[in-house]
Amino acid sequence: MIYKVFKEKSYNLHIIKTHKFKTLFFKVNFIKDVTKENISIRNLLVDNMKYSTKKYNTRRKMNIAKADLYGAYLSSSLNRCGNKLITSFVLSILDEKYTEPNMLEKSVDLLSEVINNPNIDNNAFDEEIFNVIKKDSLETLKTLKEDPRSYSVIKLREKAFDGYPSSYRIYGYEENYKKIDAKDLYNEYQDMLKNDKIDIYVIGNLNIKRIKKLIDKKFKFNSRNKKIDNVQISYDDRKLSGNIYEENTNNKQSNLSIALMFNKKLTSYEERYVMPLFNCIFGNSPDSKLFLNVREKESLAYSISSQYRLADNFLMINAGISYKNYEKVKEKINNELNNMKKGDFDEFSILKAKKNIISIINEINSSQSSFIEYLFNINYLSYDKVRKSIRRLKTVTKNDIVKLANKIDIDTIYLLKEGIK
Amino acid sequence: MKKTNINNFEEKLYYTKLSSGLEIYLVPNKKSKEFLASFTTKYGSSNISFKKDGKLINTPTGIAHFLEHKIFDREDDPFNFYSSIGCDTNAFTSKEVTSFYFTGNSNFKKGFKYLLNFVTDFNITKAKVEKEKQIILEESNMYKDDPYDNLENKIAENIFYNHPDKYKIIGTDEDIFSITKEDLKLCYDSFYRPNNMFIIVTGNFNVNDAFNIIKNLEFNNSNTKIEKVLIKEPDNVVKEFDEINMDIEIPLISVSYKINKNIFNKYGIDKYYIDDYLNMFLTLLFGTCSNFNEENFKNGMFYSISYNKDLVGDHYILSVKAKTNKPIKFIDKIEDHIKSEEFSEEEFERIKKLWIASEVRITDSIRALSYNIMDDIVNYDNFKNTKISDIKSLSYKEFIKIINLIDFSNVSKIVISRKI
Repeated sequence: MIYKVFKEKSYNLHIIKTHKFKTLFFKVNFIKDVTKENISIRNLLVDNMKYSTKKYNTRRKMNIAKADLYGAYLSSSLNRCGNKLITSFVLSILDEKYTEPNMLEKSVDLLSEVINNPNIDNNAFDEEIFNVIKKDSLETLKTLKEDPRSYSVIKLREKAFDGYPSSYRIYGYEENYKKIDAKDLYNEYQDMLKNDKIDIYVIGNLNIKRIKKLIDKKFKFNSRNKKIDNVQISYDDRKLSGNIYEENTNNKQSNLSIALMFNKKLTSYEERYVMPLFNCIFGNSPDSKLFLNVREKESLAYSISSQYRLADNFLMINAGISYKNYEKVKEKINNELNNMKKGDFDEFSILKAKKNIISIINEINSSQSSFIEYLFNINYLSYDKVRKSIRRLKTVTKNDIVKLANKIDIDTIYLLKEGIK
Repeated sequence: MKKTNINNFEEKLYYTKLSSGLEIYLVPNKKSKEFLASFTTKYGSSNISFKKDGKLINTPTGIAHFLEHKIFDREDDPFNFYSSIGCDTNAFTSKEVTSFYFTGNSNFKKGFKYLLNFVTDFNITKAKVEKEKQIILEESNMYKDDPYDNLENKIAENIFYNHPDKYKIIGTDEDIFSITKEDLKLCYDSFYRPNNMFIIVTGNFNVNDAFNIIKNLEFNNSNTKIEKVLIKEPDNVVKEFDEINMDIEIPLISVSYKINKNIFNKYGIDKYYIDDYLNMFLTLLFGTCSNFNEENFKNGMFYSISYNKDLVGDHYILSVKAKTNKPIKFIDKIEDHIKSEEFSEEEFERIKKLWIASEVRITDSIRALSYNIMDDIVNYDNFKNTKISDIKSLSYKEFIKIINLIDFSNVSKIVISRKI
């Protein structure tokens, strides 16, 4: 694998040459600070831009254009990482050796068309399409309750982190959507192209010079300050809440989401090396404390797991349960957390967790998108490279894990309660 | 081992069938860091009736899935073992198979030996049947809150009189409750046999290592004869229209056609190509390049749409599902459209191009390739290794002849919505 980065005035271009895949993968990231309000307008932007362009001005024409490029995959999405909102455009095409000459240029043309030549008239996005998409986005909001696990997590975040980006839901908000029109969207588009920080990634069995030339030609943006910092959310002024919420539903099963906070700041080493091990032993594997003791031994939950995202800076537990077991489950979870604090876990479980995480680290280049995520983490979340990561992970001791466990407290509980049978 | 090409790719398939009947499919790929190995039995949730040594046996629903859970229930916990060697393991049950797999990027030999062992060394006396019932009932409850799952189950229930595909994979609550140790032992002994099972390995592993480990595997070599029971299923559907009350915002609908497969025998075209022509039919009607999709999305007729074709016993089931705020109106539109639409050769050729592209992509994913092989085994009893030229050979003229044979008279429709 050969990795070359070109730091241009308006973007960083990352070119990765590897013979592992039969496809060529492009990703263009536009990054800005997230606010509760700008999520909705960026959702609309992402959906409008991938739906049609000036040249392919209906969804069908876009789909036909992609099909004719041997099933080129071209899409866009919106994600939040900590304090940052990331608007992404992705193109995936077959190697020319499986298609025909010039498919590369034609495909990049299409990506460029989507980003540089959207379906705009009179300084506004196409009105008819804009309205269809806006309606669609509002409909999506109505369906959020239908996935109990996802909904329970959304509600937990809303309640626990009010005022922080970790409470923002990526689907947007009705009150914001209603205020946006096709002209506003055009202004947002211009703002994105002018001010967002841009990263372009290309990965596959490519010729570095040919790709650089092509990207230089097709993507010209004004220069800007490219610095990105402060991705991770900090809760310095936030006090431990201890709040418990219950919401009634007609569901057949209850869903429990719990937010656990750190009562003391974690070191950079703890965040990257100790926390993943803690999480694995505590709740993120089929032989974790939570899975074994809540699900397997006691049959108190069908599903239970814990999750940690460095950028969001808190630990979350989620479980599918029957309401009749609610108090017992809470008690059990508390016990298991206390056991971790007391050091009631053996060296073997630490060894297994290390093996598990090392395995995950080794799979970083198993797909083009995971490798790109790895580059993002190195550049913006101060992650170490693979070899160093593995080396440092191996140095974590039981003491480290116990010390970290004692920094963790249950903060907020959200119960999505099942309906009366 | 027999070595076959996969289209014109670098990757090769190594295949053999042991004297015990066990079939092996290996596709090594040094470009990948990972490997995925699965060990599968052609025993799924629909195998509830069968003949054992000539005697007819009827079992409760849900056993295949229950058994899947219990096979993991051992003193040397497979989850524990695999995580100790840096690998992952899991399993799934479908209507036709139960499949156990492990994946990782190191310790292949250790993990593979263990996989073959724990699936074939099932000890019913250690299994805790009662405790598992609770867990499975909770799992079942979780699915009851999923509108899509409910739709799938209702479609099957309203189409089939006799075919066991009408039952959901997890089984009914009553049946789950009723399952005994004896049921589990009987089904395990009947279906976890070498001549009913197959192994697939893809990714970064050594063919000789894999083969040597398989060679040494001996299990369940009793002389029990297991035969399929032929199900007589009428052409007509059980229920033509059904309305289900569920607390969802946007109604869900489905339109499903039940078509006797024998009508397609007219031109002597192989089932393999009939499958493709029927897939092509649905794709051209409702796919992303269709006018129908474009017009109806634009005028707010639907929020999302999907379609699929399935062959169940003697019948093809062509289903269209959608989320729509105008359920009855949209069902009518779908029915009109499916019966009246015409297709050009240009759009036919375009879809072929898409399918060829998809075949190339499959081999980049060890998971996708593994499932692709499994699907072929379930549908055709062997792996189709010339899919790209097979797709190229699909003919527009033949396609038109085939779809003109379709009989739309047996249809079943469902609306799931909130009743005020």
